[in-house]
Amino acid sequence: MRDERALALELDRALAGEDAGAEARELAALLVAAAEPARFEVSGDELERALAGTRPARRRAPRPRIALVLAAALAAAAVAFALLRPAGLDVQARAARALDHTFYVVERVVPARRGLFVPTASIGYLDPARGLGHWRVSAGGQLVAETAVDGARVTRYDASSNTITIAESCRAFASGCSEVLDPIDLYRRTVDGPGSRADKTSTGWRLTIRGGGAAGVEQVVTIDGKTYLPTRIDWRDRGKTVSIVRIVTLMRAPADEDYTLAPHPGARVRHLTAGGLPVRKLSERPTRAPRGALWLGRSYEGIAARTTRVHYTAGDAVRIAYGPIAVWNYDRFVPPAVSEGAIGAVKTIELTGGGVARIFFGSGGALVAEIQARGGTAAIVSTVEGKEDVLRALDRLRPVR
Amino acid sequence: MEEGLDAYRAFRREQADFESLFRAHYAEIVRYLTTRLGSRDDALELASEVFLEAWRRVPGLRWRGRPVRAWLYRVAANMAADELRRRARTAPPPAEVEAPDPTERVPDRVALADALRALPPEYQLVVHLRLVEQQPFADVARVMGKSVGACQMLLLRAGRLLRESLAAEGVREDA
Repeated sequence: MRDERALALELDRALAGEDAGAEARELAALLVAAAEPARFEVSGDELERALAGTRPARRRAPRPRIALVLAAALAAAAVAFALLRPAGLDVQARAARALDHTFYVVERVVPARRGLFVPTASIGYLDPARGLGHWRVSAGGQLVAETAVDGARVTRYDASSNTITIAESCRAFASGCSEVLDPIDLYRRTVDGPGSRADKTSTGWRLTIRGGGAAGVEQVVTIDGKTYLPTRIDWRDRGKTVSIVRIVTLMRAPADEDYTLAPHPGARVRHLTAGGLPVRKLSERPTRAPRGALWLGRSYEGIAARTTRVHYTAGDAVRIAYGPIAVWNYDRFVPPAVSEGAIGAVKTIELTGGGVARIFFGSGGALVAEIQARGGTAAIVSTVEGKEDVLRALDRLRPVR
Repeated sequence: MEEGLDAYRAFRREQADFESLFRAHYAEIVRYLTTRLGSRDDALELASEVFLEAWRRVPGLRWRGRPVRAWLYRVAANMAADELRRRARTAPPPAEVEAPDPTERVPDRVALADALRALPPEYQLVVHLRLVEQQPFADVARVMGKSVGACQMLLLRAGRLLRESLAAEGVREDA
């Protein structure tokens, strides 16, 4: 054994090009020759292509109902605008139009008076027109929070408590989505309303906007004269400036940005109603699979379907369970089994029968495939290993007749 | 490679930043899988699967004193083994192959690659880490979860097995 060890050390020396005995040199030469074919470079292009293919799935389209609400809100806003807007206020219209894109945003929020609150920096993507966003807020170089707003779902990671909170709306949070979405969204919604006034400055425009926020609060927004994009928003409460949002960068970005939260290992997950209360299960009772709901049939892989209607404090959902695989059917309220597993999207796939499924690899080994097709919103939640099981189940998914 | 708390911090950093993890280790996983599978195209494909699995699993990994890279290699090794088993089940029986010329002085690349691929996975990994990635034995040991001495012994045995395997195939071993 001692000889073996000595030879192993000698081999190491031979590999380093140092003096060694004949056997060590012979083995070293053989090993080097054997390893030679694997000493190749992977090109930057290959790496980027592979990374793009492995990255989380891109932005999800808003749910039909949310899209409908947004469309209705926009239509109402357009009517109100046409009725109330004084003629000739072209600046506000241009400023509103300038925001109708996806942006990469870098903001610094500083207090008007030192010590009022800790200055923060927010970096992320924002699509104000569609109410989508994904940004990270840091203070003193440390991540404080990460928020993703994606259609009906708001997901926020709070670093201090290592908690991920899933909510049905920004209203569930005491501070709303105040870091990024709220200032710009409020500005966008109110910029061309009746409470806004434009004044020319040396570099562009200054808009003073009243209303839209709390009583007595107004925004004074500095607009770039060329791009009509905001560069600074001063928030005033009863005439006094409280905070200043400096928009360091507001740069157009591709519309397919990712609006899902990054993984935060070990974070606790909690689910809030739109009103900010914890979602609790109230009851569940066996039921028949409702007509039109998506399911895998009366049985799947030899396991009979067990259908249950589950009542939560925030809404209802129907679970059709086949052992470790369950199909959840729901409407506006996304049940915790789905939403808690759907953090960190991975893949969007087209279904052979039409529509798309987004497959998430949730915490705790659960796989979630959310489907918006065939006339409903549903999700397959699987606690078994391997995405093949989920893909197979997706293929079998069909409406109850 | 970091030690102690630094290693722990590096582990947590890699857990939280998938893109950096991918950029740091994708190429070496491709190279490793190329050796295991004998095909770069297959390796590229399987490496993507490894990193999909990483996306899913790495955030939930517990710190066990080893870098995330060790986990990547373990998953890659398992996936490669699955793929080789699948091939063995579906491949047609091998055709008669002409014996290599025993007078050939340098073992040809194909025979060497075959011999390397026939080594036990642990031996292939030590050859890969030390000779392809040119990692010092201390790092090889961390990835493999063994002592430095054990890894040096593995490499010695890998060399000997290679030599025996080539000799058995009639290829002269004096490369």
